[in-house]
Amino acid sequence: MGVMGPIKRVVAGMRAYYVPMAKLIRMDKTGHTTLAEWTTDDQASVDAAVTAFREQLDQGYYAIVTHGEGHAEQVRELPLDAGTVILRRPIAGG
Amino acid sequence: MAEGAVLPETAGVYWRPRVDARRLRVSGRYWTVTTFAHTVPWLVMSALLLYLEPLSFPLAVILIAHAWVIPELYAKRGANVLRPVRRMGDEQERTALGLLGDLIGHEARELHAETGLVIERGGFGTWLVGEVGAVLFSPGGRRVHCYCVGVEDPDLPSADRVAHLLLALREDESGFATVANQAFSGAPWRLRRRLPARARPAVRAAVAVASVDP
Repeated sequence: MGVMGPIKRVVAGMRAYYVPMAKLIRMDKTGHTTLAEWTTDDQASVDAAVTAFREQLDQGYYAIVTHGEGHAEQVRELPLDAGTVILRRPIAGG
Repeated sequence: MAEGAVLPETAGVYWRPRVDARRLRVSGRYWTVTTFAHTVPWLVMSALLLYLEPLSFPLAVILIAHAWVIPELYAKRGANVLRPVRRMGDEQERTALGLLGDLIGHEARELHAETGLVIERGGFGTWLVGEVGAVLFSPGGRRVHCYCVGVEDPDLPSADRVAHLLLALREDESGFATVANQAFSGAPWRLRRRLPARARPAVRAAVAVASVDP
């Protein structure tokens, strides 16, 4: 038990270090802009991402989560477990 | 493609019936009949004129030109949906390209680098997605449906324009085809010969993929 304690702390630290940050990305004239990054372990980052997400939806953007090649889904609430959420403008027939 | 999802933009064209496989077939037949009507009567008339009065050949030539020009104009309109538009700065284009590259597979990335178009398999067939439209190759690869559709933001880099259409297509293929305006439907060779040389390999690739579809 005395040995496992420090090992567990190291593993937990490594896990925290390697947790991938989810991203909220907006396609815009710069190519794209990362508006927020979050991990579920960090409530402040989640709150900031949710706020940014809602602002963009209010501005008329649609939020898309891709599920690998060929699949995408529109979302109206920020999916906290998603890797990347992409914001796009509406399309229209030309 | 996401099942059951409805592209929100379809609300803006609520009067249009959603595109499905049957509507695509009907639309294809309509285009075939239209092309026939724009071609055959004029050719028959020119032949008749020449038979009745050989000296009327100038008029016969005009009729033949008419029979040739109208279908060509339609095909040109179809090819226009794959035309590139104004490019933004290199930095913006590179950044946008990185995101688009993350959305597509290795082969599609290579084809996009070569032609500027993205190939995407869908439920209705194989798509080529460009900046201001997309072309659907029906299963078997013998017919194309050209759709004019784009994102209303003139400042977007070209790869972002493609990514917008690609994501919308992946969300709801039927809704995508409903929102878009159909510009042309016909044989792939009619489209290919009106395209710039750079884009033609994409048509060949799409035909090859579509031809192995059941």
